[in-house]
Amino acid sequence: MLALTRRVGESIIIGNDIEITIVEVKGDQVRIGINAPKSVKILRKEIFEEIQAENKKAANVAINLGKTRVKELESIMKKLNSSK
Amino acid sequence: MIIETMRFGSLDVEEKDIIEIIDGLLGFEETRRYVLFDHDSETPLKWLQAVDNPELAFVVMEPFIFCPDYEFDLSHNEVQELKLSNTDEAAVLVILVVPDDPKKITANIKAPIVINRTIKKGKQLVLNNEAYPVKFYLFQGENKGQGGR
Repeated sequence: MLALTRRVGESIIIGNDIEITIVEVKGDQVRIGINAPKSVKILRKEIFEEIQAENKKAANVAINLGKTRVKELESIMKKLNSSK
Repeated sequence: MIIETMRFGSLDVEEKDIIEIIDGLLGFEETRRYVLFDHDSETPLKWLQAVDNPELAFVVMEPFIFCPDYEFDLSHNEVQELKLSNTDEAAVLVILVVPDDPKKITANIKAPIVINRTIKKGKQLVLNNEAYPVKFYLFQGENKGQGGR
């Protein structure tokens, strides 16, 4: 990881299109401004990781879902269909 | 073309049915091509099976069945990437996690997959709405403190 020290108002440019600016520092919180093309995904890391982890759990379902659980699942889900 | 799958054996799929997920799913960015099919004719469950990875598949479903008020906006960029001209072209799917007790099944309504049905391109979005969690319990009684939906 490259670590740079910046003051409030100073910026970092990543690649050709991404600019990170330190907007404000208050106590132990840093407000960071990001200028990037709309096509670049920007997420708080913990949210990114939460979704990644959930996707991975979901992928494991396909590998581990045995016949018994499929039958149980089907019978529960049929109720969902018919209640609507 | 024939694709190999761990759960379903060899499947005969048409190139025109293959869905391209832009940027892949979070955590599976290298896998972009999937096919979508119903689990059976009696439940709303569907499978999103990776074309190039036999072991990779997701149980998915349309969220409006269990969350009728589910709604969100797409950014201008997302509309452009998916080339959506209107909402009818869009299909929304959410990924399900089935735990040991199937009654505790959850849907990730924080990160739905939106697919343009016409051109078969999709994307997993991350919504900003705090009311939509990563684990939404389909069956009431499990959604403690989530407003009773």
